[in-house]
Amino acid sequence: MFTKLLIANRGEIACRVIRACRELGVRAVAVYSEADRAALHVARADEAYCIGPAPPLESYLNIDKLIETAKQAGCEAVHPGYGFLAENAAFADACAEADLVFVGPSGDTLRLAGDKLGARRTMAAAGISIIPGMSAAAGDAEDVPAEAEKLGYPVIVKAAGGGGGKGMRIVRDEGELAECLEAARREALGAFGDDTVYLEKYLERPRHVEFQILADGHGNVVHLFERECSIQRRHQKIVEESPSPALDAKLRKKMGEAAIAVARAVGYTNAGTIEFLLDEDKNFYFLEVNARVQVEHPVTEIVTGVDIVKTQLALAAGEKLPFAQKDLSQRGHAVECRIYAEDPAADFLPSAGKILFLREPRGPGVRLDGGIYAGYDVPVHYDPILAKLITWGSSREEARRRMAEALREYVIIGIGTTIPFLLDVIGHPAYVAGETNTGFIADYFDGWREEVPEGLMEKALAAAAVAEMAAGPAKVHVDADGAAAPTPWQTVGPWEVGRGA
Amino acid sequence: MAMEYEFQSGDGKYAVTVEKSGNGFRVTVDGRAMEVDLVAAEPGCYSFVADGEATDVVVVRDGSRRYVALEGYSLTLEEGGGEGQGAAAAAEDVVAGIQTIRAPMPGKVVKIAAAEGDVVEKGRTVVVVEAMKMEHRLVAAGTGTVKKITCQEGQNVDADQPLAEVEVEGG
Repeated sequence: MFTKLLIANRGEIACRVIRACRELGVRAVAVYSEADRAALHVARADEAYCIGPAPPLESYLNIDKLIETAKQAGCEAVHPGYGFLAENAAFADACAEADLVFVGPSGDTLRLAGDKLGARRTMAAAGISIIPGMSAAAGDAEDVPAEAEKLGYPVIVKAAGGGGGKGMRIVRDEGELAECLEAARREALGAFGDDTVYLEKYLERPRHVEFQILADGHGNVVHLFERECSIQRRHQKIVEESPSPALDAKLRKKMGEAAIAVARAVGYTNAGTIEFLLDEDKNFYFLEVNARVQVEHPVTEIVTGVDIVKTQLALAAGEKLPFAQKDLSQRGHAVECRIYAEDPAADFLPSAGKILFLREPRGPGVRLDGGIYAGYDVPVHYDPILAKLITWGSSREEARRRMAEALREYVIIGIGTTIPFLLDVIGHPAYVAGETNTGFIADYFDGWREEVPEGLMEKALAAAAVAEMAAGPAKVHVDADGAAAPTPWQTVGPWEVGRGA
Repeated sequence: MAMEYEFQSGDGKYAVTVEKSGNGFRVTVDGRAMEVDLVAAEPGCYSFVADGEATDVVVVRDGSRRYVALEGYSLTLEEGGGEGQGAAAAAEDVVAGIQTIRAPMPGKVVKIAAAEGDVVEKGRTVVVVEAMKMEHRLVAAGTGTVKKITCQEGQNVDADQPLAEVEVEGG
């Protein structure tokens, strides 16, 4: 195992990797931008170095600076997390050239998997079914409308180098095509440094089912079963679970085998995810390889008992997989809700600002992977994910009810979050029934507004007023000689931000 | 001695009266009375019992604003019954036929999609702002004419900063 590792990321995933390092006795080196000095991952790490200004291109995407920092700090390996440079082949190559172990697949595999177009061609050649679409980049020329026409609207514009919903646009008719292409290119360039886009047929309402795989450098590949991630907004997952309510043992086995075949086709090593779309007739299509640790990896960790991040480090250090496929099974059910700093009632507009108060949920089967604290100022420069709440239950319904209770307990004040929205999602009859697909949010939650139950406003007003009154006399009427003993009410008072506890 | 408080939340205005009553308080909200007992726990957290129903409540004061969280809901109250100015201005305001397009949050103008004098249809993109790695299309609220563009591509902008004005056709 390594003695020192640099984490080329921030936020909750950097904190997650730091935990894995601590457990393994590996020194964790954090990096941070000038906007992130106060971020939680800096405080949690063993060493921390500033790598540049707030814009990602000048810090978390600055390959030269990251390599230089890792070498100067004496690191032997680099964990890229997810997003930023996680699937960047040039970064993996630069690490290799600098004699640093990149925790992930090789640069060549990343090039193949990361180029969604190349991956489509490879999978088609390996006999794995893919979604109908272009097998080459969409040019500037007039051939794009013809291609779209051939596939039939709606089509989806995708960034060849992308992921995480960035650089993606659904096009419903030719009139929108030019603007969508341009917007997708611009977003792709900003997010991935590459503006290559292509068209795919847009499947309406499939399920999104993905398989976690682990591959060592000795030819062994296993899968850790599936995650269902159909609940998405802006093509970005917000609720995930494992197992998928849509799979039976036979389909699970078939898809697991296909996932392993995909991993072998691209020469995959380390942890990765093979994404599929599953249609209503239970046909599955290869979507893409996510060559990194996934945001939603905890649900798999909980049902399989495998620590994916620690396994990533072990595999990167050259160790063999400590288990075979037959040793793995799913136990119970896990659900994850992503807590984002955004306003679900305003088209999920990101909401930056200071967290004035934080109360995190606890209880049986509750796990929280977070990157925030009370008093933390959420910066505007980065992805607005704050934390991930995961619950486990012996059945799906138990996990779901635990999630509802944990969400009710979770209080984040000062910025808008997805918490009230998530509560309504997991309480929706279609979710309760396991009837989920990628159209779920659009079908059931268009124009969503938080509905406050009868009588709740009155309670809130009463609490605010009594807290106010209790605060009042303590400040004004304490006797100068202190003879009058303060009543409990004189010490109550509303908690004022910035006044401290 | 009864104390009176006024709060505002969204469009609603509420009058609350509080007076001591036994070990707790009698609270009247818009004419409806309840017996309330409130005990402070950790900073910001209270144990709240109203007419025998117990819950825990978080009350946080931020200037004239009170955030109250209970039973999985989070409510924002503004002190006083006057016109609340605390709530952020809407991204698009149409006043006297002029729509002022404002930045929804701090970010960067990545595209100006219309020029001064352009006639635009309702829903047509005028300015694109990138913030938190997402693009936000700011669109015309109605069919009309672009009167003014007050930002430049590549410019960093603050929340609520005016970016453009569109004269929206009447009717």
